Formats: sequence, structure tokens, C-alpha cells
Amino acid sequence: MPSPSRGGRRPGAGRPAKEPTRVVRLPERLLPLVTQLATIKPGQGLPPGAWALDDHGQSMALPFFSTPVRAGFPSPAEDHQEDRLDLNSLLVRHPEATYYLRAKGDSMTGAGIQDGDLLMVDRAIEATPGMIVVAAVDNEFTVKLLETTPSGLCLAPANPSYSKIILKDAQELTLWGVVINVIHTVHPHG
Amino acid sequence: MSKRVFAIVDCNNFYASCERVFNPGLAGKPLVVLSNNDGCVVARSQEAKALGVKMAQPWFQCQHLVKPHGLIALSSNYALYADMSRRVMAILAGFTPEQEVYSIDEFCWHFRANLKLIIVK
Repeated sequence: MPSPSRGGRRPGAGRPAKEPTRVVRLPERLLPLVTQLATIKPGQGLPPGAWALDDHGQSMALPFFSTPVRAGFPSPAEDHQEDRLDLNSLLVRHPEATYYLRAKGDSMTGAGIQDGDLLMVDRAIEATPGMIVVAAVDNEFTVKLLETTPSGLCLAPANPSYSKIILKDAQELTLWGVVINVIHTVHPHG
Repeated sequence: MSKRVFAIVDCNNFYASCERVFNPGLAGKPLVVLSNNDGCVVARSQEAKALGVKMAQPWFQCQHLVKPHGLIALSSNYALYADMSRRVMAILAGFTPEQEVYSIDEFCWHFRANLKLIIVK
């Protein structure tokens, strides 16, 4: 029988097996910041140099200036900062049901949707006529304006060179979601 | 008398259902999602189950179903499933004060109130 002081199991030794851990390599200059972050308690402010991300890395608040920007006429000396603005909390009503889709083609240019724009689509809103919707027709997604006709619903483009999609008997229309915002990048390197 | 009541939420064919959200062409078709490196079946749509595809069955054993039955196989996209799981989790969390996340598509609700009937659809 081996001596109990050598080898074998040592109950209570090692890290408590509460949750799995992982070794992380990081630049030395970040060590103090990360150590501070790791010991932060709920309700405490963030250490300088850290920026706010919520649990899912979705939230990023940016400074917000309330003065409207006039196109072509900047308003100088207006540096009054109101609050920090998070685009997600401003624009997203149902975070669990909101998805981003990229628009392709020019059938909706009249409604402000250009080729390549990012569409914010809310699946929790019930689509009613007059809304711009993402619909599945013949197993393809399409973005169109939902309209009513005497014979039922139809999908209307916002570009005169396209025609309305009027459903034939065998065609099935699935309303996937409602477009609530369009993100159109104007910067050439955006 | 106050009892502890538990409810279990289990999403149907979770990975296959996630894929169908973003691809309407997959609706109503036999569909399987494969494990890493497309080794074996980790999720089956109802139509794939009806074809006799078994859970964790190696993909090479199912390939004969592709031509005659139109079985569709997709590589797994865990980033998508994790995002959809988080959405389900957030929605479900609104129904109960205590929720335990058991896996990517299974959730356990704890109720401490005096409940007479629970209907989970």
C-alpha cells in the first residue's frame, strides 16, 4: 500500500470544478485593464479605456448631438452633447425577432431601398397593407410593398420598370417579416 | 399549497428548423444537418425522420436517399444556431422568473407559484 502522502487522488486539490475555464493569451499592456474588467461588479462603472458591450456584444453607445444637420450648411459651435445613443435601442423594437438582410436589385429604389442596402427586418410585426415586407414567393425571398387588390394581397415594386407580383392559384405567399429601417451607406469606403 | 412545477421546452428539429427560417425552399422537404466535417446526422426534419434517417447516423449511410427522395443535407452552421438559441432563450425568459438553459434547444422552467394548470403549446 503506497504512502498516502505520495501520488493518487488528493480531494479538494486543484481548481473547483464549477465551470470550465480557458487559458487566454493577451498583450501585456492590456493585462491591467482585463484584470480590472474581470473583477468588475454589477453597477460599477467601466475602467477608463474600456467601452461598453452588453452580454451579447450587440450594444454600442455612441455620442449623440441633438442639433439637426443641415445638408450643405454646417452649424458651427454646436457642441452640446445630449446623451449617448445606441442605434440598436433606438431602432430595434423587438431584438429577438429582428434580422438584417441585404437588399439586391433595384426594384424598390422608389421606396429608398438601393442595391446593397442593409434592411432591418422585424418578424414580430404583423404585416398590413402599406408596409414594406420581406416575403417568400416560389421559395425565393423578395422585398416589396404589400398591397391589397380586389382579388387579395399583392406585392408591388417601387420602380415603374417592374410589374406587380399577383399570386397565381398555385403560388404561395409567406410573409416573412416587415422592413422597419434601411441602412444606406454613402461613404465610398463604407 | 405551493408546489414546485417544472416545464420543459424542447425545440423541434432545432438545427433543421433554423436553416428553414432563412431558406424558404427547404420547407416541406426531407432535410438533415450534418456534424462537423459532415460526418453524421445531427438534426432531421420530420420528412427526413419519415424516410428512416436515424439520429447520429453516418452520412454515407444516408446518401442513397438523395436521388430517390430528394434528401437534402446541410453542413452545420453553429453561429446561426447559437444566435437563434439566444433569441429563443430571451423570448422564453419572459414567461417565467426562473429558467434553466439545459442545451442549445432545451430549456427548463421552474414555477413556485400555486399553479393549477399549465398549457404549453
